[in-house]
Amino acid sequence: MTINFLKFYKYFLLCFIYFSIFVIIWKILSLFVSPIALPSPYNTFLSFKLSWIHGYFLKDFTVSVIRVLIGWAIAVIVGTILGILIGYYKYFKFLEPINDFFRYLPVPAFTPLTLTWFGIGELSKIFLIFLGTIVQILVMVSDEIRRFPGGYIEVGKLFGYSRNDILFEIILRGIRPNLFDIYRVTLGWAWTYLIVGELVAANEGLGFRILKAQRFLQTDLIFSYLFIIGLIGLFSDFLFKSIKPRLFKYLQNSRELT
Amino acid sequence: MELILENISKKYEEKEILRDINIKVDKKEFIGLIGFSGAGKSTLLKIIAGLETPTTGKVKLNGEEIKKPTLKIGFLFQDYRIFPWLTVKENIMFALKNINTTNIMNFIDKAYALMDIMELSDKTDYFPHQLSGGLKQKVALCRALIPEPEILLLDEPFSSLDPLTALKSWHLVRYIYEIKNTSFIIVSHNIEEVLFLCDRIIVLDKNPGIILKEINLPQTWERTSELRFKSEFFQLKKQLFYLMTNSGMDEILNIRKKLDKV
Repeated sequence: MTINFLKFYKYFLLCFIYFSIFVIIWKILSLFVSPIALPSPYNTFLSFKLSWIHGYFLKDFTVSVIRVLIGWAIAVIVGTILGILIGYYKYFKFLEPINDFFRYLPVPAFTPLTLTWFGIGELSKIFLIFLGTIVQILVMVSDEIRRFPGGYIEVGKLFGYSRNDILFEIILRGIRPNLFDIYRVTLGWAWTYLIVGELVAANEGLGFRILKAQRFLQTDLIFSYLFIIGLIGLFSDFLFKSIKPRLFKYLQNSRELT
Repeated sequence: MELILENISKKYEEKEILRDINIKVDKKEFIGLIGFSGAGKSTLLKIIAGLETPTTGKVKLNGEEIKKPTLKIGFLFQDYRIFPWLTVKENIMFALKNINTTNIMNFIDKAYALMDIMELSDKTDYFPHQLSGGLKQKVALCRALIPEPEILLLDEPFSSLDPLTALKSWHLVRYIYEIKNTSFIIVSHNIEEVLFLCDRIIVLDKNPGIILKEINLPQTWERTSELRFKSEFFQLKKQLFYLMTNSGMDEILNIRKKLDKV
């Protein structure tokens, strides 16, 4: 307990030191550059404070978080199911080249199409997030299924488990921690596609505010919003990482199953 | 129970692994398969288990051809293959799912009795990473024995254990063999191990794997720690050693020739 507390304390102390160094360098650089190109840390903080006081930050934040969570959650559900089917059943393998085709298409290129299909409402942004993340989830899940150690499958066969039993009772149970990591990584990508969607067609949201700030040369506001997006990413990553050992107790002090 | 291996051969592409293997295993026999690496011992076990198909030949258990795995044949792997995400109890109970019986409680009771024999009762909620190699092996052995197989195949089960733990495991496995109605087939590189455990030893040559010799061990042997120091045990150990080294001598000579050139 004490050792854990010390580790935790050291970790945050180190984070604080690195962050302070980053802010100091930023401050020094901002002295030599125009505030439009690089606002000072203090001005960035002030602009964030203003967005908070005027209430639009909370609104932008809530709208963006909801969009990301919905798009990502749908992609997780559909991508996992399709990934399992492609990775395990040969009849679904034909879906893989189709997915690979879409995987190589840049998601921003779909923005005009999504606007045509879904208008400027919520659906177009959610669809972009969904499209950007599902193609990645699908390929990673199917790879996980294929890479699953054959030795465990042999054990299932020896004890009379059917092909479906082996999938549900061995493979899917075995790859759960890896699926969890896939979801963590793709949540980060979902944020990228959110900004793409909001930059083009939105009336609120973090991406929309960044674009609006650019029009009025409010670089300090852009900086503060970018900072917030980074912090959200850090927080969600931290959340996933701290939940994982609680969910998968068997991974403590042991190698993960790959 | 009668297991018959009829003219088993196995080829991987052009490489011949096994050639014309004929073995008959009777009820309650402990057989050791010994030979150099590459003699196809593990492949032969997988063929018996129905995990691999022979290129030619048949495996018959009680007259029925084995084409896929069956609960009548158990397998203890070299790396144990217990599931890291399941506790000891869950790993052992994994074997119960497909047992066709009206009295599953009987099997569950037997599972607990086995856990007790193997001193696992106080570790039922442990995960595999919390266990030593010896305990992991016990879990795997327990799991393999739950469906009460007619034959248990053991693929180098002691190779990753330290010598003292391995010695304890020999005694445990032999004890399990004596109290169960199961035949055991063990694959090993260790001459002492097979001499201690088995009733019959089959020596395999390599490239391709063929039966070099079969040796029946004295039925009067008592499997105690003293056995390893008896003169008869030593003589058989010497005989097996020369058999095995002769079969691998060409390779050793080739390596020497290469080294001499360097």
